[in-house]
Amino acid sequence: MHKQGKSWGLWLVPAIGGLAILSGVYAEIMRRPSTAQAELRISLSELRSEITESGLLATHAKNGDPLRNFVREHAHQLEKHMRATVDDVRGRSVKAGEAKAGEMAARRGESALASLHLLGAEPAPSATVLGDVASTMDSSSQELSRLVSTLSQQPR
Amino acid sequence: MKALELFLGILTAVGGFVEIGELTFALNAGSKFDFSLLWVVALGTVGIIVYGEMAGRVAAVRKQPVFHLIRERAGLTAGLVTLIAANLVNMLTCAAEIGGIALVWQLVSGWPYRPLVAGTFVLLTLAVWFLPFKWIERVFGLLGLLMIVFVAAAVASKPDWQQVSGGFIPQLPKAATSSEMWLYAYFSVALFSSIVLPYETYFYASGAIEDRWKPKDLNLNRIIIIGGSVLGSSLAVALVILGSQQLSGREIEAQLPGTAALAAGISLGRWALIAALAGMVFAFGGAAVETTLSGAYNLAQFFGWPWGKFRKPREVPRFHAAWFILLLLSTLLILSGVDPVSVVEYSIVFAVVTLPFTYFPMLVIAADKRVMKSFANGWLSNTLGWLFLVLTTLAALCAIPLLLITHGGRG
Repeated sequence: MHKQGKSWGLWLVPAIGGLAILSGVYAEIMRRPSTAQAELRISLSELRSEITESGLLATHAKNGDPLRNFVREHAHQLEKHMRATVDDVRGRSVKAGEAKAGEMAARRGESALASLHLLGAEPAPSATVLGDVASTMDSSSQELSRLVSTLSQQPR
Repeated sequence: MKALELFLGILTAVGGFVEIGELTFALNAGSKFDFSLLWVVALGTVGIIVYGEMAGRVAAVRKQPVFHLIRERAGLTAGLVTLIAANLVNMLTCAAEIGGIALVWQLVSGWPYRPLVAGTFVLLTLAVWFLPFKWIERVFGLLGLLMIVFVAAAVASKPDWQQVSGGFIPQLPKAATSSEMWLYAYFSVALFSSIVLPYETYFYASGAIEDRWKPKDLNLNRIIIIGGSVLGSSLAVALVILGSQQLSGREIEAQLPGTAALAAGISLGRWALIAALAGMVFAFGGAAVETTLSGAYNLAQFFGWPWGKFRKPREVPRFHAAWFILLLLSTLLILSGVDPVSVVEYSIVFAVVTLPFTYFPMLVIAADKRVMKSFANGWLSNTLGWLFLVLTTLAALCAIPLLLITHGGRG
């Protein structure tokens, strides 16, 4: 058994390690050619997810009984992620040759960011404002869903 | 007194099953594939029980922890490669946990993120420095149990239990496109890996030696590892169910710990939200302590330094310096501005590559009748051990390609 352990060390460790790295390199080389478009679609899906979650947070803040600190700080954390995603969408849409669609999505993102800012503002927003934030998020999310499915249906 | 030993299993399981990586992977697995990945959670649970039991048994019988075995059985070169890889994974995971604690703390306090990261470092250093090993187990194990709120939230979300039970049967997603299939494969490997993370066995075996287990404690070893793992997997199953019930229809992808707390709060209200936030702090804290101590255990055991939390720092200075440096490096990494969730997602995928190198030497010695005598593996442990070794090797080979093909699991 001890020899078995040594042979594992001598041969199998480099074999598994080498194969894992080689298969990674192979996968990288064989990646689909339409990577730019795929990456734009991923960024748009992320933006939609962040907007939908912000809408859910606004609805919960309006109907539920959450901690005010939690709502404000989760809104701030989402805002930081969303801002990075909006920049990402702008950059990737140019690379994918979809600048118009990217700009439309980014505008939706900017509008969601402004609403999200209201959610994190002090003093706490009223129920009416929270309702408006939730409906802005809902319409932006639906718009982005349409955009993602249009991009998914385009021939590559 | 022996009942309190259960906290080693609870801490190992809670810190291993519901650290920040598992939390986001499990929620997103439910969000993207509903209940169809639950069988992976069950499979991973059996795997960690099999290898955790072996690690505890070898530690109780031979007083030999995992990295001692790796050096002895795999030789210096292969052992050193495994040590470096394992400690890199430990550092990345620890960094993510520190970032996760700071994010949760920010949700409650509203204080800025970076000072909270520094504060987390100070608190973890004080906890590891001053608390005896048993109290580390009890504090983080017991308070990590607040995560049970996710089980209550999952039940309150009223899932279709027939569909839930159907998720435990291995399956492929129905009517999926090729990119969805790749994503499903990626989530299967990542979820499996996040459950059988190698640091759990390093920590568990070293903890058994810290707790001075003897061969007469082997039944306790079985109870602890089975009880702890079933508890941990129940939390993972609950997160998959919550992901499906609260996030799937809305196509939300969890990127922050606050998303998990929000899901619990929607199901059960304000107190569930508070319990989820507190539970996450202690579960992530447990995982940070587990990874930082594992890193020090690995180094000390590989190079033959004296080690142990039960020994005073002046008796084992290199061991204490090792965990402190690892904790400090992890803090500096997260202070550089990297996203904790992204860090842990990568660390989990790289962890799976180190798994066969950790498990094989353990299997060889646990099965060796000359060394283990009457405590050697029986046919069931051997069969399951080899089966999971093959599975982890396959997962190790697939992990990096799947990470690249799926753009890091994003689609």
